[in-house]
Amino acid sequence: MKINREQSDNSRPPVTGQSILMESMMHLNFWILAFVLVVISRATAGIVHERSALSFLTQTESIPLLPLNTIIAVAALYLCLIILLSLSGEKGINLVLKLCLETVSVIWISELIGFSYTGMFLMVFADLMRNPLSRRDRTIAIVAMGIFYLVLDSSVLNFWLRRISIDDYLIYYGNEYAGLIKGALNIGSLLNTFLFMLFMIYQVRKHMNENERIMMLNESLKEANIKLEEYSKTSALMAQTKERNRLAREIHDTIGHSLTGIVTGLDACLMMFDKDRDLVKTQLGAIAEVARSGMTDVRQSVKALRPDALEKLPLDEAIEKLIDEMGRSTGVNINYHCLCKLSDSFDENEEETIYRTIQESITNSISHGNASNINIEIKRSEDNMLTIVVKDNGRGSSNPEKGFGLTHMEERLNMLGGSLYIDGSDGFTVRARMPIRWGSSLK
Amino acid sequence: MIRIRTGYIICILLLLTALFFSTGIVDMIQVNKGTELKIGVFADSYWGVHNGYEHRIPDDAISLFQNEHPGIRISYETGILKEDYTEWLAEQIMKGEAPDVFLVMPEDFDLLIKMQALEDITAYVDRDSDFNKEIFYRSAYRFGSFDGAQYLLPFECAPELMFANGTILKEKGIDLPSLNWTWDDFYKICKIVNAPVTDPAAKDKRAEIFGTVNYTWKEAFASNGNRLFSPDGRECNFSDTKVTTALTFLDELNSLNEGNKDNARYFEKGNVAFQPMYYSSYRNYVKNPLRESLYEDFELTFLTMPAGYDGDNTSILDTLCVGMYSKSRHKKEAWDFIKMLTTDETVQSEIFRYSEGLSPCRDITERELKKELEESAYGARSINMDVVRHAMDTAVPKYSFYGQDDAESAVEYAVNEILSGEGNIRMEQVIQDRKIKGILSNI
Repeated sequence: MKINREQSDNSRPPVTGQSILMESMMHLNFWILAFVLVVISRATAGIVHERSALSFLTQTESIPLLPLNTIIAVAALYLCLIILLSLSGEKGINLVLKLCLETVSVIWISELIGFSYTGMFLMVFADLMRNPLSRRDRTIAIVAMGIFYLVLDSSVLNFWLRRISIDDYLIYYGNEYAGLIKGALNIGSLLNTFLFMLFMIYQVRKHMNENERIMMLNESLKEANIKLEEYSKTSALMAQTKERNRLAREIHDTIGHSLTGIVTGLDACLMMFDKDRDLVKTQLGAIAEVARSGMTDVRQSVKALRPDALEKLPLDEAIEKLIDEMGRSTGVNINYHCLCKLSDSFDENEEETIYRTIQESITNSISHGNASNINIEIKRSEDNMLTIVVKDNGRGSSNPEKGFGLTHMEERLNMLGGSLYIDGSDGFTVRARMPIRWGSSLK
Repeated sequence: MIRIRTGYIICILLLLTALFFSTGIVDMIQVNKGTELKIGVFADSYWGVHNGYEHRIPDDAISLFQNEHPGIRISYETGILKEDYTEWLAEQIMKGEAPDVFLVMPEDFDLLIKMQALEDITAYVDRDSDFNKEIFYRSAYRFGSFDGAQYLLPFECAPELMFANGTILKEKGIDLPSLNWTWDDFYKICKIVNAPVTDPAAKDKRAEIFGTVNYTWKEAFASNGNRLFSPDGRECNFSDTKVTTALTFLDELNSLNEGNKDNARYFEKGNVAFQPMYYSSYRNYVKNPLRESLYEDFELTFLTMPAGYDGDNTSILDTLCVGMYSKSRHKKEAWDFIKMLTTDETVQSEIFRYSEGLSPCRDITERELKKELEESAYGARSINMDVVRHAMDTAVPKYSFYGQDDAESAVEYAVNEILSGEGNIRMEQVIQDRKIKGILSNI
């Protein structure tokens, strides 16, 4: 027993309520079996001693097994059963094999003691319940074990095999002691059943707790998702506001300032035009200066408003970065193929147009088309035009209308002598064409 | 993983241990030092005689056997009396020390079969070329078979024969009946013998002379071809019409012997013409010098049993058999020894010297009886070889089921009720049949 306990402790490190119950069942069944064997051996010796062997055999009509052999065989089988029960973490066919061996051991033990006690079977049952099995396998196993248990516990088997059960031996002890022994055995058996019930309650509770935990996790995940969505909306809105504010400030600081100066100066000129033309001339010169300076300011502002990436990186890297970031932040799969050299081939305006076109198209695909896959292809066509094709697998549109973004894009392209075509029949396709002015520098 | 594999290896080893111990293979290994055959015999004669030849036949058989099979030791427990023998055998079986070969008394046969303590020797009988079952009287050989399988071989037997007082018959001028005499002949002779003696001188000499004593339902049923009980003693056909004719005949016979119930001593005194007796009793008388004097003043002879209306001149055969323990570890040797005991000429012919029965081997019995006749071993008393032969050939075995004593008492009671009552025999038979069946089911 001791060896087994150590082994079971080693192989199952976490001490749970279930493992304690299992071990209690092992102990209890050990003592019940020991009790049954003692009762049988004592009776056998007594029957021979009292010279009532003939009447005993007449009653049982079968040859009893030798007590010593029975004890050794039962001990070996029980040890085997305990070791099997202590082996954990088996799966699939190994588990089936293990359960089969356990069942064989239990049936054998029961047979050896004449089916006097069959409670060991509940341990195998418990072992089955605590192991992971598919629903189908579990059902099959439970049905099979249930049948085994019924057959074992009812005396059906004994009817055929005619084993000598403890009831036959009890006659030797006389009515009073027989009742006592039977009672003790019943108590042991009931206690075993009780332990098994506790085990099952644990099992069911464990199962329920797990389900509950999964449900709770699901709930909080949903909440987090909603928050995240809200947050992303807010942050987009904030960025927009920030950009607007920046634009407003720039306009106010640069054009506003200059225009105010120009308007004020021109008013003064109007008033002085008839009185002192020379002064007006000087004044207009100053106004022109202000307007020129304003223009410089506007230019600088426009420069400042350029996309950051484009400002810092060459065009091709900037596009790659854009695609990479968009892809990562939205989870959309974006394939980018560029078949010509982009950096150092276009002026700022052209670079920005290309960049904005791609940016706007991706944004449209994601926000309006709800696409999951976007293909971008940039190539140089025969007639020395740069062609940008952005095609997605989104909703598309049977009657595509150019919104602000597309209109703006088209305007920019038109300004550079290019054109924009859209097609919403199979996903959404944006095809932008733009003449390449420095043909020699593009290869 | 390694631990799990070790666990399985240990389990397999433990299962093997259990197998060894539960099947008794372990005991075989222990005894492997040399072959020792244990036999079970009782000290006194099966025929209830203390003849002073304790264990003489088994001793001689053992020394003969050991000459042929050196290296095989044969032992037996001395001093067991026939009346304690069955209990002794039961104790040995319970202690796991049952003899390999043992004598089986008819009443234990059924129980030993049910316990599966007897080895089915059909295969040995069929395969052993040294063995020929035809050497046995068929009735004696059939005794050891059950449900078509052979379990026992006959060791010693004795038929029940009708003993006659030749002197009385001669005085009455009656010829000795033939081998095929019938109940009618029997009744006629009894009637003549019973007739009141007219000669006053003779009246003094033999005050009362009777036709027969001790002719009971057992003899009547056997001779009328009625096998009352099924082999396992669970069934009984007391309501059979053959029982009716037998009962009618017994009733008539009883009316001749009114007021004089069975008393064997009358026959010994020479007052009775016929008495059924086992051949063994006869031999006991003729061999025993003390008893011999009892029969000195009249001529003792024996006849076949008178044939019933529906039957034949059938005797009842009592047989002591030898069987092999089903869990014997030396079955081959055990079979050889059984063969030696039952078929060896030396051993079997010793029955005529050291026991009271007949050998179940036809040739040996005939030869020995002829020899005795030639040597006039028992004075002038004749041994009618034809009678023995006829009786042995037609004999039916004595009942050999557990509880046959109770069953026979029940029948005895029923027969007495019917014969002493005034009611209709057929009606009474049906009533008593139910009673007997009730008793049989409770045995």
